[in-house]
Amino acid sequence: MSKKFFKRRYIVKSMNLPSEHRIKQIKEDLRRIKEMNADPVKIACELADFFVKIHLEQIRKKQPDITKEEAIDIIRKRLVKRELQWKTLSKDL
Amino acid sequence: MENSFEGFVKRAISSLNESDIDYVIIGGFAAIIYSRSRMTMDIDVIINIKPAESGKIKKLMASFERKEFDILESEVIASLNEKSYISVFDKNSPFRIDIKSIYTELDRIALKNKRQLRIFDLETWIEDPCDLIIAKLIYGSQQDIEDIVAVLLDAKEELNFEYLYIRAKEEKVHEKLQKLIDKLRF
Repeated sequence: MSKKFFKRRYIVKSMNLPSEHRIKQIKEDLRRIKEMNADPVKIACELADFFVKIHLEQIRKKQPDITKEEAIDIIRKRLVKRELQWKTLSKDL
Repeated sequence: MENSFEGFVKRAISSLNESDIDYVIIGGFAAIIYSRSRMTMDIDVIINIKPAESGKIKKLMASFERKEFDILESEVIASLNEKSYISVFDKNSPFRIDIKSIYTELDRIALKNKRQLRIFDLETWIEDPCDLIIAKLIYGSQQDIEDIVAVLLDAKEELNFEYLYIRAKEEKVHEKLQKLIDKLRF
């Protein structure tokens, strides 16, 4: 894949305030992190590793002979595509 | 080389520190450091570098290459010239570092007000939480707003509200900020 990826931040003109329910969920996350003395950076690491693990497993199921490098490249492409789709969607919101 | 996200973060920070270039980590990863619990697959960084500074660029590239990152000099110079992000891909994982230089006043302020923090036993530079809130108010996606909510709720003691309001006014996002603060009731 091309090593160059143009990342542009789209500015969303209107702001959708999170719902009361969503704010409650974020508060609950923060409370639980504190209560469990957990490190949010470690949580982010585990989430990212889990994401990669699941995607690698899915790719290997469909293409058992794929190399690790090829599988990583597929995940990278998916991530870039998803990000571009999300940015375009945000712009239209 | 460790290909977990933690390993990627450690290698990214070590590369930036070894390059001796003024930098600051911004965006989603900075929000995570200020307690936001969510996933990210990249690290956004602002560095103080100009396209003509070939010595600095070479040093930066050498630091990244030593830590198994993929980066090309021609792409670094082209990205700096057209004021876009330089995507530095990890050779061992799908994770990525998105680097940009100082393209806007927002970037200049983020670099000026950076904070030194310790992540995984490594000293690093992170965006000030007030500057993070302002940047995210400007971009304003759902993810950005939820990041702001978490930072406002959890890093409240670290925030300089006077500065936050002044900057919000300067960037014309003070109404958005007020709406959010009213909604959070504090």
